[in-house]
This record gives sequence, structure tokens and C-alpha cells, in this order.
Amino acid sequence: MSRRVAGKVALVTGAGTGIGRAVCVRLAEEGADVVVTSQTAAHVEETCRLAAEAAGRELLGLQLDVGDSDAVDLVVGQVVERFGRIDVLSNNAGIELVHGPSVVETTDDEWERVFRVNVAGTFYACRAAIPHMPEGSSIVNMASINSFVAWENDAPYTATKGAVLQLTRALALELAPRHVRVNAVCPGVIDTPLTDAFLERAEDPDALRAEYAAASPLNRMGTAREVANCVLFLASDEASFVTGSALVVDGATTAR
Amino acid sequence: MPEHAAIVTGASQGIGLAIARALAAEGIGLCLVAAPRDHERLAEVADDLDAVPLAADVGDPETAERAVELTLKRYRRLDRLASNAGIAYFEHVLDAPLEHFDEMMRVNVRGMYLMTTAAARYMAAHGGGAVVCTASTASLAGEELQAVYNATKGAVAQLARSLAVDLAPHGIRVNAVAPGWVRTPPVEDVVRDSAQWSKHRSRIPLDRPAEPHEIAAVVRFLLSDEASYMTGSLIVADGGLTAGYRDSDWEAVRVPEDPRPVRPHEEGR
Repeated sequence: MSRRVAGKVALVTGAGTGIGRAVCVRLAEEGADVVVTSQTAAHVEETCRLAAEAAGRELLGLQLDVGDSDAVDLVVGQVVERFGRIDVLSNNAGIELVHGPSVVETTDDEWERVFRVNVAGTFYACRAAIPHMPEGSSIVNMASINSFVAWENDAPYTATKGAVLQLTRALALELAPRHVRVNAVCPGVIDTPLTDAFLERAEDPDALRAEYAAASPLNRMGTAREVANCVLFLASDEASFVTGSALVVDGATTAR
Repeated sequence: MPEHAAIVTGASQGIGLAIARALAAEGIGLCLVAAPRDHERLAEVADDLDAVPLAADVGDPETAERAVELTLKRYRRLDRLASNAGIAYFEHVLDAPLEHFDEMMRVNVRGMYLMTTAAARYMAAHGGGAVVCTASTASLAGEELQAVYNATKGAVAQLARSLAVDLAPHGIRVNAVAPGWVRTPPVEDVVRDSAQWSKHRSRIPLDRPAEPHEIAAVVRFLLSDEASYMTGSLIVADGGLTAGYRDSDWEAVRVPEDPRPVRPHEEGR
């Protein structure tokens, strides 16, 4: 098969680690001009290095806190200045409270912080990029199975992922007349640094790891690359009639 | 000998034909199943794609067994199934004859069950595989004149989910695709009737029906190793139809000469 997103300009947020990093590598492998953004400069550099290795050419990397709308506008401006347009926007930037507070333990600041990155950050990036997205473009938002089901002591994250899915659907309707598709990827438990952060805090990390694996009937966690494959599919023209959809990649965790 | 071999049901036309073409383009060996009345078209397609044809009723248990046998005989493997055969009668539930209920249940549900389980029985014992069932947006909502059809497609979606859970330990992934309006031969008649079509079209954000190859692309992805962590999922491919609430543009029905007046909220775009 020929390269699946050849010549497309892809802006990827939350690209410093985990799923966002794998998305950069996968899109670069399939011929996209990928712009790597993350809040952490060292992570930008490392993802650029890995994706450049996969693509065989240099990539543009930019530091970005998606929770800062001025910064988002600035970065989108830089991308447009360099490439003239954005064909793929992959929103992955997201945070979760790894100390797992209950609702009554959650502070105003924590609630606001999770919403600012996960929901406002996705909104800011879409709002800034959309005017520069030509017909046939694709937005892929990273939601979660938490968009559909809840876990204990994870209410802010769960609420934000519900919001991301509904934002996705709303955008799909608004952008359909412009032939821009908008979809969400909803991963289950994926082996990423964010998951490691939960494991590190556990009293018995091995037991928790086994519990995470057992959440799926496949009896394993997913890999970041397996999620990135789904983003690639939605970003590509192969998904030309898919818009407003939630692509669940959870090894049947929520099928039972 | 191809690396993969697949059975595709409902393969003589529409989505099934597009799936067959998409898989053939990847070098996957094919056994194509279609209803006996479509045997001539099926023979042409099979000839064109160098596939094994089987014209038989999917509601008959022997058909699924035969499809598995034919696939193994020709390719010595079976690791993909696109269980796609389906039929529809569109009629008011109060006027629908029981025969139509039985016929739709036979092809859409019994046929789906027989084909998926026969293929899975082989795959479970031979290294696993991937299955995609053709569900529908009809799996997700109630629609006028489609009570029985939607009941069968609801069953397909639940069968796919449950198969995914049961078959995961056997290395078999099972997913479903849920197309909305697709330009298949039966839908073509609706699309050509501007009074009918304007009513449906006004509810599709992408403002058009899918081409069959656009649904086949979803099936191809789900059957591929790219989707290795996807099982028990249903990918909706409907141009945004079920993502939001868009009222049917009933006014358009009264002016069939003008396919679609500008809707107030679209002015100025």
C-alpha cells in the first residue's frame, strides 16, 4: 500500500510521550509532514528524533501548553507560516490526577487544571486550526473509554473525556459542510507513561498491572502504537465517510 | 499461496462486492458467498477477482460449513471473515407480513450467527483471526418503516460484541461496521426518487450517501493487523448522521423538483 497520509500537514498536540508520540511516528512513517508539540521541550526533541528516524527527514517541533489559548494561536500561526495549511489535527494533550482523589477531595484548582488541558486545550487547538484546514481535512481528538464509562476516584478526567467526545460530535456537524471530518479515538487501558504513573504509586504494582491487563478479554493492555494506528486511519482518506464517530480501541473492555 | 484468506458474504453487489475488491487488492485469497438468485453476478465477480464462489443461502448451516471447506481447499487457511450478507424490507410494522420477519431474521441474524461461528470454530483451532460483521446505523436507533430490519441489525451489533468477548481468548477479534446511507443497488432507487431522498439527505451532515468502497475501507482496516487492539467495537461510518440531531427537511418532500432548499442555519456559510 502506498503511504497513507503522504503530503498531509499534521499538527499533533500532547506529542511528548505515550500515544501522542506514537501518533507522530506513525503519521511520519506514512508520509505526513508532522509538527510535534508538547509542553516539555526535552520531550519535543525526543519525539522529533524518533519520528525523524521513522520518516527519514527532519520534523518541526514546538513547545506548547494547549491550556494557554494565546500560545495555541501562536503555534498554529507558525505552522501555517511554514506549511500554508493544516490537513490533520491530532489532539492528544491530556492530564489525569494520578493521586486519585474522590470528588469531595478534589480541589477547585485540580478540577480547573484537568478541564483546562483536556477540554479547553482541545477546543483552543480546534478553534485556531479550523480556519486553516482545507476540504478533506481531518481532526482526531483523543477521548477515552471514560467518555462512556466511569472509574472510581477519577471524576474530573472522566468528565473531561465525556466533554471531548461531545465536542467532537458538535464539531463534526459544524464542519461537515466544509468537508472537514472530526472523530474521536477512545482507548481503553494503554501501556503509556501516564499508566506507569498510576503503577508507580500502587502498593502492589504487579497486581495492578495484572488488573489493568485483565480489564480486556485479550488479557493485555494496548500499546501506544495500536492507538496511533487508529488515529492514522481516521486521519487518512480511507475514513472519508467517517465523521462524528467514536472509535473505541479497548480490546473489548467495554463490550462486556 | 496468499498470506491471508477471507470469506466475504453478500459479495455479489454493494458493500460486500466493495469489500471483496478491497481485500483482493491486498492479495488476500477470497471465498465469496451470495444468495442463489445472484449466482450469475457472483460468478462474474469471482472470475474477475480470482476468488472461489459459493451461491447458497446463508441461513442454511451447510452454507457456512461449505464456505469454510472451500476456503481451506483453495488457500489452506482461513483467518478473515467479512460477514456482510443482509436483506431489508421497508414497510410499516402494522402491515408487515410475518414471512418478511422470518426472512430478515434468517439472513441477517441466523446467517450472521452461522457464518461467524463456523469461521470462528476453525480460526480458534488454527491461530486466530479477525471477523467484521456488517451492522448498520439501524443497530442504533428506531427509524420509520424499519422496525424489523432495525431489530435484526440491533441483534447483529450485540452478536458482534458478545462474540468478541467469547472469542478473545482464542485470538479472534470481532468488530462491526455501522454504515448509514450507502449507494448500493437498493438505495440507488431511493436516491433517484428526489422526494424520498431529499428527506433522508437533509439529515446527513456530509450531504451525500457513502460509496460502497468507503465502507469497505473501514472493514479492510478492522480486518487488518493495524486494528490489533480493536475488538468488540463498532465503527459508525455514516457521514455524521447519528452524531447529532438534524431534523429531516420534510419541506423538501413537497418540492421534489428542487432537491434541497437552503436550510436557515446554513445561510452565510
